[in-house]
Amino acid sequence: MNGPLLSFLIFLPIVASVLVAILPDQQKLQRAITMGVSLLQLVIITIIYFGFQSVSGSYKLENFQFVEQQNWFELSLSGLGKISADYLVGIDGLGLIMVLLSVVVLLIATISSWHHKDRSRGYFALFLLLNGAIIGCFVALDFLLFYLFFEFMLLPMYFLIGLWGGPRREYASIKFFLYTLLGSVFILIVLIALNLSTMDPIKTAVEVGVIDHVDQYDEQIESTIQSMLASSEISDEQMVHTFNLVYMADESNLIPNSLLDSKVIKVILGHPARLLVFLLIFIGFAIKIPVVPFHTWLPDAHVEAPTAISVILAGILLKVGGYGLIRAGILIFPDGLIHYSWLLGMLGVLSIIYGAMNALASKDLKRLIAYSSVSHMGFVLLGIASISSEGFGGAIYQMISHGVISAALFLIAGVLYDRTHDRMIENYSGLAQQMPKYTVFVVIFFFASLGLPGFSGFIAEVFVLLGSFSSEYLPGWMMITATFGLVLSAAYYLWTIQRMFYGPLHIKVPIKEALLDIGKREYIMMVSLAILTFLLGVFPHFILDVINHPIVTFIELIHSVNVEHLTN
Amino acid sequence: MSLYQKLLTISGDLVEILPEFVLVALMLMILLTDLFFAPKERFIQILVLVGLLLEFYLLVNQFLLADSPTYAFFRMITVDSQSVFWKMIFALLTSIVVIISPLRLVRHKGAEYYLLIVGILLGANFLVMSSNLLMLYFSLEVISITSYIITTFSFNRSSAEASIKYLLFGAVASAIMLYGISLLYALTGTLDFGSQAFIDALLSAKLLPLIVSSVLLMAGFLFKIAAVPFHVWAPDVYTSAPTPVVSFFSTVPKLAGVAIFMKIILTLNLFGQSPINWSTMMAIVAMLTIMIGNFSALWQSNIKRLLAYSSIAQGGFLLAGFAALSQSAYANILFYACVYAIANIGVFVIIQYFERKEQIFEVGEYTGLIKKYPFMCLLLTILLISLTGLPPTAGFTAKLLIFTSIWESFDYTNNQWLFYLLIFGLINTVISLFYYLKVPYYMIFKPFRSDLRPNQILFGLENYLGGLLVLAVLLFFFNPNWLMGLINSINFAF
Repeated sequence: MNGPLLSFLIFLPIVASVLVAILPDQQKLQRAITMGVSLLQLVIITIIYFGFQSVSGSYKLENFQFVEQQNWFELSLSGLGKISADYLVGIDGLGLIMVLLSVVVLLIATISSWHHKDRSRGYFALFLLLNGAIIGCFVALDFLLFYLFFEFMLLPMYFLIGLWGGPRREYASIKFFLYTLLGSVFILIVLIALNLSTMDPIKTAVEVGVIDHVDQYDEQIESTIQSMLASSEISDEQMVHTFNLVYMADESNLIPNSLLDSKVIKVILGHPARLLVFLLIFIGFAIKIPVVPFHTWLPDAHVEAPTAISVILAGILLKVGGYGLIRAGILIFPDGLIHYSWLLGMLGVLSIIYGAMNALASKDLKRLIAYSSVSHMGFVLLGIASISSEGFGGAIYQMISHGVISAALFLIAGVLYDRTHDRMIENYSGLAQQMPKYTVFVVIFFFASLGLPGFSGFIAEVFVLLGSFSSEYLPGWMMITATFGLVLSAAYYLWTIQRMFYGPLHIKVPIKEALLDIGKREYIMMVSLAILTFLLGVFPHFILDVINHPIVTFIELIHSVNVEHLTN
Repeated sequence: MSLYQKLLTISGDLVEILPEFVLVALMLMILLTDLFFAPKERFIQILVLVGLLLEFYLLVNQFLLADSPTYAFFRMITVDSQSVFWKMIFALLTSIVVIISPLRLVRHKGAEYYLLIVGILLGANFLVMSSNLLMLYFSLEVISITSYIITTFSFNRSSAEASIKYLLFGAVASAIMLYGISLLYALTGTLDFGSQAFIDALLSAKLLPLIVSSVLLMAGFLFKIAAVPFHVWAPDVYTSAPTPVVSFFSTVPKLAGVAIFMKIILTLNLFGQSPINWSTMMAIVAMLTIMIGNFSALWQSNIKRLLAYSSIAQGGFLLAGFAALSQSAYANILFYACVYAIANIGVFVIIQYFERKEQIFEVGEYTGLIKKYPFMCLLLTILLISLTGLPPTAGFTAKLLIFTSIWESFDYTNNQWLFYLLIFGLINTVISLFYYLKVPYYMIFKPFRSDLRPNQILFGLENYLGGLLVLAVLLFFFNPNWLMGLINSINFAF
């Protein structure tokens, strides 16, 4: 069980990508490799899932599992100590289910690209590269490593949209790249600031001479070194600065009088440094989630991306934003979350309503689904802003649920686009007569997405609404307005079904072949996703059991933080 | 000290400039062999490479031995690990330039061409070693005058025009600098800017003359680094000069300017007691340079012009490191300079390759090149990503380090300008992406413009060279210690 399973998950696709790039250019071989990688990843993550023990306890590295740690590099800052970066991967419950989701969605995307023939070598090589970067993002516990994978997702994605996308692909891909890079730059600022303000207790202990070797480290040493830090007994030269995300979340590791010290508040441009930095990291991840008003890249990217890439984009990449906000944002700056919970909640509600309104007005099926993603990801933000265990649970659950459902929705749009090369809602009516099986799946996933009880979306949204209603940080009207978003989503989905599938059969675009109902391959994808969303809707404990302990830990961590300084 | 003693000291110090002796000997050999034997250009090229190799070998020896600075020729020059490190970089960069220099383009003026290249290198070597203002001025002029001549080596109207422009701007910048030096001499009574007397005199100097003289002195360096407001020569010169020469201009003289600037700003800063806030001043210059470089690059269609503005912006990032004014910032500037040099010269290797093979000069003509040169296009993409500063390339590590030192310095001094610089620099990284990506965009996304056969020769010299440079860019990302360890062994005399 203690083999380097997580590293295997990350590097398997990357190695496979190189293989695809150098082996002869045969599509069958390439797709077989990609499929093999996906299946192997599924096996590994299943082993990890069953080997994972849900433990309660504080937010410490010891409570992470499958941890692998290697020194990456240490740079000395001549006179100001060292910067140390580790290759550090590990998972808690949150990381586990995000990886699980990624593996499943990537498998679906692989099936969806099964017949991809256009310049297949480049396509599958980039696809596998993206796969590795995504997994890396969810398991990295070192901020620099996380950032590396986070950035590295951009390049394959840029080329995948730009080379294999729709008519306006070039515009969409560069917009996607610039927006997300802007977001990452904000994150980079925070990364630097955090690094300079955080001490690595283990390596500093070695440097100071409290212990001779990292293996001797235990909790007592930790408290010794932390009290030494608090009383400024560690000189600048001995300080080892870390990128470790878990150490950063521990207030005792913050260097006194550094920029992000939570006891002595430094001021930048008239604002407390910690709050300003929290805002920066929030904007960085908000672009990725995306939160209104940072969402404008999303509809373009989605509309132009090929189906499989849309599936990955909606199913996983948006969740990287949510995950990152939790892991690198609110856990490290709980005071920021508490201070800005109203703003976050407000932006969440705004995303819900504004996304739904836009979806209602969309004429393009894919654009409608893209805006519905904005709307549903708003619940994630609202759940986080409520700072309650229900809200957190709902937010995480919504990420999983939306990952599955939005993947299915983009497949649905892809099915129609494959046959007619047109996605305009107004060009279709009465599709139910021609494509009955397709219609059944559309109805299932539309209902799942609008939050019908029995499907995963319902559980998630109920939890978020419960959390935000009981929250002491959010006003009641936010929850009520968010509920209104549910009504809107029912409106646009039902209206779409009515327009496209009911009535007499009439299609305004020329069709090359007969409008066939869904084939075997599509059937497999749809059925498995339908079963998945149904299972998650009926047996939520599959997920809740895993995320329960982390959520309790997160809430405890957030409430343990001293926020008095913010009021004065 | 009697004359005999002086001569004795001078002859004793000669050993310190052994590598430069090799260069001078090399220059003489080029001149003489060309005069008497009229050899093929290939022969001269190999001769130069052998000479550079010998110089590099001597430099390595010097680097291994240099632990404390040695003053030579009555404190005219200082040989320390820092200057030897820079000289090693210059030697490597020059070798690459020599390797990619085409044989036919130089029109039977091969000997002169290599002579001038070695001449610039010689000037750069003396510049980084100089510890006397006169020596500094002299070396700067050696670089400048040889540069003016070599700019014309395209042998067409526009390169002659660029050369004259370069000469005019250069002359003005030199004159301004010389005026600054004379004022400093008047203030301090010495030209040895490393000496205690110089610093003491500056400490007691009046504010206005101090500001005027030191700002004037900066002009010369900013000209070499191509920083705002002395950057206007760069685009024209870069566009018109032969590509290998441009790759040389964008690295060796530029970095030589950075290197000597590192030395002199420490003196001018007077260990933090200077009445002028150099940190703020550098932050402003850096911001202007980055901004003008980036925003002008956005609109360029000629690849060399685009790279000219890109190198202005990159110079801005180097200057941004100066704003931090700390020892760790110095190490980071060195790291940034190395990575920039590798990536930039790599880009030029490939640009030159395309120019030679396909006669293309505009970004718009790069359409669909990936069909024909997949390997080179991949390399160029990685190098441009490194110049942008994205992982997984060393360009990212370099930018990260520069920004780390700025942030650290901000934390320490609370100078708001540093914070602005930080935000501004990072946002400009995003802007720069736009034009750096333009090249891969045309190469990869646009359809191939003609039905040429795929390239048969996959592995030529340029491919290996480009591959090696890309490998370096990737390796220094995955293990920055290999470069940083070397840099950390340098004593910056803070």
